[in-house]
Amino acid sequence: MLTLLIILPLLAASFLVLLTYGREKYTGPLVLAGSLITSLMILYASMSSFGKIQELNWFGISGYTIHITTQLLPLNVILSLLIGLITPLIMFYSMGYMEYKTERPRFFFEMGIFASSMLLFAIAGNFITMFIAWEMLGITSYLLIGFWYKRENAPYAARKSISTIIIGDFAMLAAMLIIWSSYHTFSFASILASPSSLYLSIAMFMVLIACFTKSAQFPFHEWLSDAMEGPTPVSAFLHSSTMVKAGVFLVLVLFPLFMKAGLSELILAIGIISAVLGASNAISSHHVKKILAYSTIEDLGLMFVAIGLHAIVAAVLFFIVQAFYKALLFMSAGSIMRANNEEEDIYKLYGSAKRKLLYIPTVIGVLSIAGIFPLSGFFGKAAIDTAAASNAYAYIILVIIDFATSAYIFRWLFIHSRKPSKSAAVDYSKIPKSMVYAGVIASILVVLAAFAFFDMGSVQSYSDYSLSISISVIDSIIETAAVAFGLVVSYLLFMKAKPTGEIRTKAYYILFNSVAINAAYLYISKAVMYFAEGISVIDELIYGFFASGGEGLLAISDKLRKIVTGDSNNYLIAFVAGIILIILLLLV
Amino acid sequence: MLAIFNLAVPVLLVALIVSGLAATMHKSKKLSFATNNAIFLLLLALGIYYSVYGSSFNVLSLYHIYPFSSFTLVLFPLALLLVNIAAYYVEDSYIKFGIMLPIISVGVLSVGLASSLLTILVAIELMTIPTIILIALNGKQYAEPAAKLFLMAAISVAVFAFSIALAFPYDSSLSLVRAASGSTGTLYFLILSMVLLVASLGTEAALFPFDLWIPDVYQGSPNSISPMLAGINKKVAFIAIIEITFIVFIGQKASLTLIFGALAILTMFFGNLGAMVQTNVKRMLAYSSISQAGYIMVGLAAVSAFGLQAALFQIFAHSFMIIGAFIIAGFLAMEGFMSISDYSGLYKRSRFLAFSLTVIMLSMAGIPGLIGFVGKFLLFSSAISSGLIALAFIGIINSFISIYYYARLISNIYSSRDHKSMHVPREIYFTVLLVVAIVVFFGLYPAPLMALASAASSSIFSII
Repeated sequence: MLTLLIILPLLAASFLVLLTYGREKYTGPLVLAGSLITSLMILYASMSSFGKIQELNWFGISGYTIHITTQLLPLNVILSLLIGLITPLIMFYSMGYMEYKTERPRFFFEMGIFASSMLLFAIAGNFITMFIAWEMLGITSYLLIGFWYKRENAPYAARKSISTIIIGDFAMLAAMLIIWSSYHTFSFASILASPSSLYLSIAMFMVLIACFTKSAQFPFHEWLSDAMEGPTPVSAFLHSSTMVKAGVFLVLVLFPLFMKAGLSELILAIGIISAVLGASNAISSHHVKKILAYSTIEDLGLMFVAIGLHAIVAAVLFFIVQAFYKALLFMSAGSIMRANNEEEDIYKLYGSAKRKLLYIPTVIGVLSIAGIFPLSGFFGKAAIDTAAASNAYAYIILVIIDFATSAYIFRWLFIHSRKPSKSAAVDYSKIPKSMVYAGVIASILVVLAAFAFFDMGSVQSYSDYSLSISISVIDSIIETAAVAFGLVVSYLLFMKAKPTGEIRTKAYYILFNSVAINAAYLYISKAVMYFAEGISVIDELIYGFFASGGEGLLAISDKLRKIVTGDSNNYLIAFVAGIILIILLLLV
Repeated sequence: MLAIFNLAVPVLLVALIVSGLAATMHKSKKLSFATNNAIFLLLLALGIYYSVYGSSFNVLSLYHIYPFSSFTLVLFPLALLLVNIAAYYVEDSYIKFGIMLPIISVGVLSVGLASSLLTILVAIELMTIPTIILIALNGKQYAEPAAKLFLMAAISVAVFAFSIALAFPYDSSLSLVRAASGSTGTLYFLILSMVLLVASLGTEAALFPFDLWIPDVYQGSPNSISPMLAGINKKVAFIAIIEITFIVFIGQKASLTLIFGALAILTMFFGNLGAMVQTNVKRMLAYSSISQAGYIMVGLAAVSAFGLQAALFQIFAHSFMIIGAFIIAGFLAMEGFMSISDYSGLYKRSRFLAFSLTVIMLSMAGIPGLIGFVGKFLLFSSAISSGLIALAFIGIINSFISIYYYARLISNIYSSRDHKSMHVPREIYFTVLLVVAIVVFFGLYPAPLMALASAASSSIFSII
């Protein structure tokens, strides 16, 4: 079967949705049906075309043919299955979430295209195919983050995300040009097989920058927390199986090339910095979704740490389990916000413990992200810890991060499960059913994801690197102790002490450093602006050139218009003159 | 069985004539519309069949079926189908169209299939004269375009006949494959014959300076006929130019490059600069179609299989783009929107028409992802690969200029003004949707069309 076809149902449904303006009760079910068919096709394709690379001639020119290449190697299958599981779930959740909201067709159209581009990315087998999907992801995420464009901050957040990501797009384009000019191929398989060179190192560095922008790693990580301006299903999607996973995934696919280029230390360092920054901001933020967003930055950082430590299988395992619990937690956050009149400040959220069908899945998600045995998060974290055991510095930092993760996620849970104060209007009965049930299904998936650990032996895609995954008992005990310590600290600070969120100490600002980083962004962009203003003289020169050129052309055009007089005699004269001129031209 | 199947094309052409003549008797526009469409569809299916299997054989020593003619058998029936469907709505008395169109189509299709110079001459006349009658039948106000077309066609056919006469003595044959085929060396009469041929067919193909009548006639013609003039008649002239020059005159490679290159430059500049100041949409489209003829000439000037492939691709692409654009412009002209300023706020009147026109304009301007981009990309890279870097550069400058007037129309469409919405009849809806589908599909996935054009172009080069 042609692997590319698996995208078709979802893509078709997304476009059909545009016809449902005015008949909006069909909108959600249509996309849900499309994504379910796509999921079934993914399942079928991952069995029938497993391990196959398919090339489709796109177009050929003077000896070179550009292919649309798809591959279903183990990593591609993993990501496609993740997307196949999570897309219908999120669409189901969105049906409830978007109830009574305007512009539903546009929302589902953009979501559908977003999911299809991620699926294309997941099965891409060469740089061109990957880049098309990469750009589609960038554009659709921009549209989705800015979905509520009438709100004050949404356009700003969307612009921030696209301007960060575009840095990576340029880097990726540069990498592709370097690769094409030195290898004359875009195919992943043949680049992986080609010898190492200086060009390869430069290109891989560029690819790495692109991956860091997409996966929100330091110093490009701040767009992700601003992206919370988008609708909650978008966040759930963006943080679990799509978009931010793209960068990590590409590094995993091209892993041996990064090793050849000697970039593993860089990956490790950036991963650690991002994880620390993510954890510290998550522990101090007041925004219910931003806490989870910073937590995603930390998770992605941990994946890069694992890659930097050459523990590929551990990274893949964490890649899988993170998708489920993050999707679940965002869904819960959306439901809790819905019950609290879309309040976003965590200290003004109450009473999530009242609705058991919402609370129990949320707790499962929280326990999983904290890393408590036997939930899936535990296996992911413990595997990374075990891999880091040889590197003392990394190990200490990872243990601290384990502690911090547990502290901030229980803080998140404890604060919004308080009993409602008298002034707050909390109504848990108004959460649409589909939002609740989507969470329940997601929590089942979180529990089941633990079994992924026992089936990781099949991730064999590179021949020259040893692939193994192990969890040592000592490391798991240390991890569990850190988590338990975090739970205790969190309980004392945020459950017992009845916090109000009003404390603003120096330590708080050190932890909540997102303000400083945003200020640094502004500073850099101002510097760029000054530079740009400096060279705008040249810009005006160019503009003047084109403006006067354009005026000149219009003047010529006006003269030329008068040749065509409407008089047939002139046309005949021109005909004869034309023949004579051509003959003269040939004689000269 | 197989031998009978080979006769399918002439049988269908005869069926077309019968359908046209029958229409004079039964005068039922539905019946005539249906039979015409059915025959076009059958011809299209046949064209696709021949292209896929790369068939090559002679029919009745009159027609020659080989990949090049299969290409025209794919292109023209599809284009004729679109014109026919649109005319069904646009024409108030479709029956005269129902009579004339089958005869025109026989001419149109015979050019690509022809195996002798005389067949081409007759076929072009068979195409042109009913077109003139069709224009003139629409009423007194169409006498002027009809007269102009008649005059230019008369001159053109005379020169064409003279050109054939000059080439005849070299091999005493009118057969395409034998008449002076590939004669090399400085043969003055042959060169003169070539110049006259390019001039005569350049009249219909819109090459400067033989194309001054084009804006008048395209603008002045009835709304049902302008799409046909720009999308079919003009392309037929190109097919004839390609067939004759690349078979009969291929020995004069250097002169061909010189003539085609010079005409390409002049035509591109004339079309693009002329279009910039136009205010009437149909007239602007006429100029734009002249400039597109210039781009096609860039590919021909390369005189290589690659260049010819590019030119054929662009002929296909532009044929549908301009048919779509003229159908929209014609429909809007019927509703009273003639000038570019009338188009402002079209977005509010009909989202569908606004979107489709935008896609077509962007494609003509050469925006990636649409068929026009692929065409231009192939054309300019073929020129570069033949060493005509200056020509390619001029082409790129021209497509830069062209963005001015395409974008002006687009910005007018979306300039906001409140209007009540407009009903788009289903004939217009269907044809425009089909054009947009072709533009987007082959823009994103050009491989099949490129393979078709490539087979056609290499069959021309290997015919001698």
